[in-house]
Amino acid sequence: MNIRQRLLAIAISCGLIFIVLDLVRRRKLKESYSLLWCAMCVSFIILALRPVSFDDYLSRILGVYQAPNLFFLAAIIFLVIISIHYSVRVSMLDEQNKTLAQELALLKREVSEKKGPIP
Amino acid sequence: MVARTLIIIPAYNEKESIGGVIDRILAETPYRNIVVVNDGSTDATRRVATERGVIVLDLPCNLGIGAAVQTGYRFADRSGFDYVVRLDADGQHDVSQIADLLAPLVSGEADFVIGSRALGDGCHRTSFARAVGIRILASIVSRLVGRPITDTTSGFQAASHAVVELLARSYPDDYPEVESIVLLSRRGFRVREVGVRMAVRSAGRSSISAVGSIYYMIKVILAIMIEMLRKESSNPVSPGTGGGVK
Repeated sequence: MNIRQRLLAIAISCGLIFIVLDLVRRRKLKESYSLLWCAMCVSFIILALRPVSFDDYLSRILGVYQAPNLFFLAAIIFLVIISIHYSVRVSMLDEQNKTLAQELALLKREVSEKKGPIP
Repeated sequence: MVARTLIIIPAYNEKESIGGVIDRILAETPYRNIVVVNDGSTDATRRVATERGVIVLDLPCNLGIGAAVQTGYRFADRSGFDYVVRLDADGQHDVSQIADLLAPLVSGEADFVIGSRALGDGCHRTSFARAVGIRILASIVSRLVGRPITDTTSGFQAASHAVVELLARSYPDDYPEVESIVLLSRRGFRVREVGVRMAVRSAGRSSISAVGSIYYMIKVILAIMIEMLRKESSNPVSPGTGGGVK
């Protein structure tokens, strides 16, 4: 991988980290959700800074013969993990939302019993 | 016994039929504890039910049949009813058979009773695809439960207090009937069937369309397989343990 590819990977990763951390700073994004994004960017920076001798080693172990493909592989793995993480969170919110709605229905009934019907 | 029995009717946009169902329960049976769970209906379902003086639990949005039924179970659990009967708002269940469903619970032979359309007399017409689907599910569930279950998708059910307590805490989403049978028998509850007559739906359509049936089959079979992988004493999805990646 030539120096321009490495610089590009580092620049994109740093930009992404900056955006993510800024979102956290402005409270648009919770810390727990930013961790996976930061981990992805940091691992990209480490990949971009790896010594040339490491490439041989990687191609033997992972069967990845072109270094840029390593970034695609890592990106896909991270995005899949992040998506699964979201599915888990959505399932949890789904369950919480259901419980809240049920409790609301039960409470509405209790209140209207005491105070007359709620519109 | 009558005073300790609660009747749950989940209803979503059933204004044409719900009134008749309630009227028939009041006229033909001694049961007076009736709860209509209005699952975010956009029509006059709530008004029709309220006018008849029954308890109405009004969900703020449409949560689906599983969550609606569970709302009824939660109410029954907190109000301390010993027996709970669930029937559909579309009028397909014969209210005069409520007592037949309760009999095995009262005598202590069963904890959960299903009103089976296959065991009952009278014509029960259904499409071919649906009949095949019902057969497949019935054979899978029968094998898992260890005794023949002929109608896994019946919405005409009766439950004892212990079952209500469990189902109030954890009840399957979307299409709950099949999964709840497997769940209950895995927890050691005795599931029995009683034959029931089915009336033709007095209004509305079945909630499951053709494409829906395929999704239904896949979803239910997957859910059953996953239920079998769970530990018998495992807790339901706990809504309280948030926090994201730590």
